[in-house]
Amino acid sequence: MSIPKLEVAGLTKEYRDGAVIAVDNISFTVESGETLALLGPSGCGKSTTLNMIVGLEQPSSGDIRIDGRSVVAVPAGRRDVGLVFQDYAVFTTMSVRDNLAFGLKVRKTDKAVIRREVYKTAEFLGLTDCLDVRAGRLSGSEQQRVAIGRTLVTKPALLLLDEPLSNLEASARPVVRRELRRLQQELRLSIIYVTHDQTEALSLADRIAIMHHGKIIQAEETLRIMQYPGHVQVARFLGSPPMNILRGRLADAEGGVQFTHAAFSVLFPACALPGGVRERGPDKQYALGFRAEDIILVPPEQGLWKGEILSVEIRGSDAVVNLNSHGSLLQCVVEHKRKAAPSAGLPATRNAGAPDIRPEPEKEGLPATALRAAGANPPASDVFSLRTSTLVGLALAPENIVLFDGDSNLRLESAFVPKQL
Amino acid sequence: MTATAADAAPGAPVLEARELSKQYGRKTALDRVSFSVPPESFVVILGPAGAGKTTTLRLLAGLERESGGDILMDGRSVAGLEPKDRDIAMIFDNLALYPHKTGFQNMAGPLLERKLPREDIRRRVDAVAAKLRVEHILERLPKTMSGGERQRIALGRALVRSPRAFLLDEPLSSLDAPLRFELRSELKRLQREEGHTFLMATPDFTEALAVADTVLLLRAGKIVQASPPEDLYDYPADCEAALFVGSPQIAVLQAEFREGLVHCAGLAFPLPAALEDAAGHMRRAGPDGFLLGIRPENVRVLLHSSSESGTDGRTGGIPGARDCSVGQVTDIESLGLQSVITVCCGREHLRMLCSVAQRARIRIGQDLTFTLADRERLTAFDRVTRRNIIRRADGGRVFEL
Repeated sequence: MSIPKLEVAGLTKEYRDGAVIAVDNISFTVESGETLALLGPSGCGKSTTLNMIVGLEQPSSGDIRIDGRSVVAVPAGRRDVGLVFQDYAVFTTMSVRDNLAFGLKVRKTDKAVIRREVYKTAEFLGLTDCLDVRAGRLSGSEQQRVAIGRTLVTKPALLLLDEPLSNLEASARPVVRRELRRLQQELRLSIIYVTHDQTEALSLADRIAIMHHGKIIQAEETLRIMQYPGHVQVARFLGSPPMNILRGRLADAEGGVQFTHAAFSVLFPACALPGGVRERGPDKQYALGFRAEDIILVPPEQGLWKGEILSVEIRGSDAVVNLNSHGSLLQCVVEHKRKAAPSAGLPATRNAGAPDIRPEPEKEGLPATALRAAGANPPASDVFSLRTSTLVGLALAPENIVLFDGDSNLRLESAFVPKQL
Repeated sequence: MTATAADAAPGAPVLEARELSKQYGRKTALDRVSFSVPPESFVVILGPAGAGKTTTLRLLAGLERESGGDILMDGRSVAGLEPKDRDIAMIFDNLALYPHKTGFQNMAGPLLERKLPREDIRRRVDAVAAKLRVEHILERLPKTMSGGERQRIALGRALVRSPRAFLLDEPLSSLDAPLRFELRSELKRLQREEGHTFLMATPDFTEALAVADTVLLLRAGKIVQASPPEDLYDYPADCEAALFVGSPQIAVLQAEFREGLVHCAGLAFPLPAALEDAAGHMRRAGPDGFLLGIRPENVRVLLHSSSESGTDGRTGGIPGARDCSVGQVTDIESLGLQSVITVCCGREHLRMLCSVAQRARIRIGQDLTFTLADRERLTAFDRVTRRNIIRRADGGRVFEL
């Protein structure tokens, strides 16, 4: 087995003699050619972790190994890691060429080599036309490219990106994300990508480590962590909107297991619940999780339980419906489809065989588009107007329910979660 | 003189801009813009940086003088009225709090200045604090509050007043994403429950779609489109509007209409109903044809050896029709439960959504077969004017041909 590019073991950072624990005994690896995202809200310890890997801060305990060699005692400049900051930090008065050459000049690299490497990097990043332009005159995304290029030119073993897109305009971000993906593919770099934005982590990382209060609460392949969050905090952090979580108790009941929430209860067939759920009783808390995309809205009398529509937020191809269900805010995603135009001069006809889920003619308050619950094709009779204050029924397929232990917040193993994707 | 609701002309919009223009030297910031904001509505001005959003708000607030046109409040011109006499509150992005004052004192500030009775102030602040869910921090100092709590108190400070209209200039843009989503839905709820009239400027289309009753799409000082949010997505006025609204972005591709079929990206299919009476127009457009707008959710990935059916059965039997086409995968971006696949098809790039299971079987560089989910959901644009040429479901048009 090959040695990981980076190995972090039991890393801890305390401040004020342990009064503040910024990073709490975390361990993870970055394999060669892999991108790991450290994802979490501000203040969760991700930047402190990065600073310790770079050598800007000394760990209170734990080890950091690059290519199998401990670097804790190695000074910051000699760890063979490249760091790109959120605010670019390019030398604005220097030309792009001098910015790119900087790291090599400091290392007293041969001039011909510098020239060749600078040009190669500029070519790769599409900066050849502005090599002689002062970096301060470039746009934000161009400056960020210069900052990345300046780091790449020195060929670090590990590239650390600290919120590299946060300062860019919204419209530039998808473009820079695409460039970073190309970089990953063509150069097979080993990268740690620190961000609070799940879009960036999902878009760029092979694996995501979610940090919360200084701890890594889950680290897993990007696709898997999204599908099977292992912790309530992960479930609440990923997804837009994030997973709905309801806390309550379980009790055996006729025909299944009763989940009782503060103000309502739902009977689930026993097969819908994880095998390991044994503990019952008034003191044992469970948390029920289900995705906004998996709720199916039905007429009130047909639902597992009911909710009142608070608001409908149109997103484009779908809409988020905010519901008040017995005092809990639940969110649900419904697909939004443009209605077909009637054939010119002819009355609208249905295409035989095509599922028709258009709503009845416009009612007051109904968005002028067809709306239907995503993830399933409810029969035509299920279509109703999504109007504020309307009472709707909520339905949910049992396989879309995730159960968490209410005390540890950890997911309980379920027959529905495959071991491997 | 103060414009108040008392002397409002019945049925008149709270705010109305008529042919409003603003010149800065020789630069036109705002070019004959007309719109109205009905009572108790939430109107959003959407546009990129430099479109003229802030200029519009500043003119309405009276902070700047218009170069041409008129501004009406409740049907009466407010030209020449000082900002303080317009009964408008303006809310900015950088909402500052007094660090030495409690949450309550910060929120009560504008009411204390007006020397309202103490009980009235208390009642008003408590009511707004309840709406914004900050009752529990009213006695605390800003430095002990989280970022979100501070922003709520700051919004509350503006919202304790009851002016005829609120002008909001990117009020949430400095917040982290989760907080922004939460606060925008609370703003919307507050606006509706209190019956406020809101005019908000934002560069973020998701924000505009989420909260607006009406979106005014502003570009280079002109209103390009004024419509309900779902229409902005379904019937964008032109190519640029289509590209600006929606993520992942729509693909705008060259298309031709010949021998009774639309040809685009290797596909060939009968004319969608929404384009039937535009056919003559397209033929006139000559060999260069027209532009087809295809949203990523309307393209379906077809992987072999799966049960998915490639055809919708509707083009079967039509000579020359091709339900499927093939492109080379150039990019894969995960969105979470779905991924965006970009394929290159001839000279065109097309984006499509796929599931996690499908994504696991797709590699960069491979050939991928795709089909349209529903050709009735395509959008089309004139190649020269770049304006939308489709017919709406209600039979109307975005633009007359």
